Amino acid sequence: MAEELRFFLRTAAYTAVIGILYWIVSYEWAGSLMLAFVAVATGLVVVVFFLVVRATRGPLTDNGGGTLRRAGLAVARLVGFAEPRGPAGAEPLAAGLEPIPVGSTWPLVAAAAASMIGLGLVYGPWLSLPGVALAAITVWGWITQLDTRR
Amino acid sequence: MTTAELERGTPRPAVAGTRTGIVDYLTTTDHKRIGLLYLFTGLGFFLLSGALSLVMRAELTFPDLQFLDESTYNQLFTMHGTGMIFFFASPVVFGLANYFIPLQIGAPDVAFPRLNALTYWLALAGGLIAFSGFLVGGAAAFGWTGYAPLSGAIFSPGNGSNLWIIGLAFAGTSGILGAINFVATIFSMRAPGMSMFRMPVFTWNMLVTSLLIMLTFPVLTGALAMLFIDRTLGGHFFDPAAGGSAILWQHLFWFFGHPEVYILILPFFGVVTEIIPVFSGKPVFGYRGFIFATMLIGVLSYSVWAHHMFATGVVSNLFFAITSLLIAIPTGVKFFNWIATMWRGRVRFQTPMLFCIGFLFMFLIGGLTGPFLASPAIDYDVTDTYFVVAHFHYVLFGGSVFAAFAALYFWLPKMTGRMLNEPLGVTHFWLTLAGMNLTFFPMHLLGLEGMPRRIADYPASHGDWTLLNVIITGGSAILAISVVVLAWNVIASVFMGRGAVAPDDPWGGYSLEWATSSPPPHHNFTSLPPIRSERPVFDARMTAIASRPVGGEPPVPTDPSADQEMVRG
Repeated sequence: MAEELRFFLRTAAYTAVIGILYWIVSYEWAGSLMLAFVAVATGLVVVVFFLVVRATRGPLTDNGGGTLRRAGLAVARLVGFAEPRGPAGAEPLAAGLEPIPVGSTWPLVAAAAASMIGLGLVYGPWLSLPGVALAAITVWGWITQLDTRR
Repeated sequence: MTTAELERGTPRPAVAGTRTGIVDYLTTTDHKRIGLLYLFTGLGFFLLSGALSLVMRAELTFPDLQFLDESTYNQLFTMHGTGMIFFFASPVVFGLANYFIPLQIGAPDVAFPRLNALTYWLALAGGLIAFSGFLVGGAAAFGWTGYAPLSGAIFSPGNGSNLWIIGLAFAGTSGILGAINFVATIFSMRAPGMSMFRMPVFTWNMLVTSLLIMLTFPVLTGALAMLFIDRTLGGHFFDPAAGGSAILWQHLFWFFGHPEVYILILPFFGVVTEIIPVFSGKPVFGYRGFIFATMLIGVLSYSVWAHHMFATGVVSNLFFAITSLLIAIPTGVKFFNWIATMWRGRVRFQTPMLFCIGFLFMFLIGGLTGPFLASPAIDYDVTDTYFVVAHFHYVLFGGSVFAAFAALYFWLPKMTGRMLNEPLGVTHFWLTLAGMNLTFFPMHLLGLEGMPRRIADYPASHGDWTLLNVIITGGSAILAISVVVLAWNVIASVFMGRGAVAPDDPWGGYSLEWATSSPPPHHNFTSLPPIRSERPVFDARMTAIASRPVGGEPPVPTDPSADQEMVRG
């Protein structure tokens, strides 16, 4: 079992157990629900991880197996867990070969748009409506900005 | 390279091989530049929030001064706490994590570089929005905890409070996005050979911290949304008269708020665990013990929130006393390991190590008053007094700030290519230690004598309150001077270029950030040493020594202190 999986599993197990104990000793809704939220959220990660780890066991090119394995493999490829790993001491991911975005205006503009929307909640729609328009432009600019990779 | 050449050397740009104009920083997606932006933004808010506390201390020096009215005083302590926690400590944590997680795991950047830039700009916007309340008739004035119904529209009218809510929501959103980025980076971008249990302890602690952020910041953001609805749209979430619950706010806030304290200290535990072994000339004692202790503190922190609510009388005192006291166990494990790491080591008392040792003593005092406050019988007596203020300042100033300064002296040479001045650093340390103890230790006594927190004045006839307050204000003045010393050190050494040029590995470090140039190139590494333990750079150094011909010159410095002397001349 991968350490990444155990990491979430421990949190899920602890919060599930302590959540039940807390409910028994307090009958208090807010805290019990929040602990349940933590247990379910981390438990969900464990389930997804488990599928991924199971699916990526064995040769990655092998598309055989049951529906569960194929689904897990698809998720694994999507989140990048199915990438082959080199031996210890191999060349790093870096070395100028890995495509890294070199810069983008859109994060700054996105924060400006978010600020206009947030301040508009305080001062009025005259500020938030242009903010929404700017946010729409930002989303378009962000997702179509493909030339930041060199 | 000779000493003279080092002294004359031209500083390299903040990120080697790239331009450093303002536009480049505004549009950067490089984790190192974003880390620097976070760090200097955090230090800016540290100065601002610290200045607010100095004004408060001046007001409290003697009774009946009242050059501030109560409303202004309330704004000052609210924005001091908000600024220090959300816009100083958090950005410093994110700055260090941004800069060093990819370097420590041998990655070229974080997993989502543009998202990373967005998290920084959202955090900055949040800080500016929250503090902009001062410009529009008064900032929030209900304490950084924002308790309902005090934070409702009736008791806290005005836009300053709304701006506080929006600003914190920005900080919360920024934190969640940043945490997701760190987890994705750590899980999916580790260099070949870098298994989970070979990661440096700082990176491990940031992983646990990121999970805490991901699970508790949404609760804060949700609670803030509910408060905003109550204030502006006629909601009744926290209004008992209409079926709501004021206590619900406390549950929601502290379910976030107590893990937040660990969010602000666990990364600094990691910093100290990076520095102490290097300056003791030994491997860290109990590597896995550190990591499991961090995990235990992390999971326990989910179940301790209502020890802040003992005095409400509506929470299970027994449950929260037990879970809170349990946290002393993993913290004790860490202390044991830190001491055991130094034990019989060849300890070098340079500035980063001095701040780490200061951290151990100061955090211990803050930690020991924790079990006091986790005991309901004692907590009832001292709740909302200066004892609590003393406790959390020893934890967050003696802990987080000391470790942040240690990190600054340890890693700024890596980040900027310039060494900080050692005598100024030592001066800064002793001034900080003296100032902090003079400022915060008397607060224990004031609290035990019953002086409540968050008051703008106190009676002159009340025992020795005046004497203790004079000492506290004097201590805070020393702290202010210590910050000036630090600022001058950074300005002179880094920005004016007076510091010696930093070699790649000025301290004889162990983790991968010391295997690249100072500052690192855009893609961080041109080559990586083999990673076969949690100390790959140390391993490479030993391998090089073992393979050199008998009687030949060592290919790399073998003695970290000799290395340092070379830099200092």
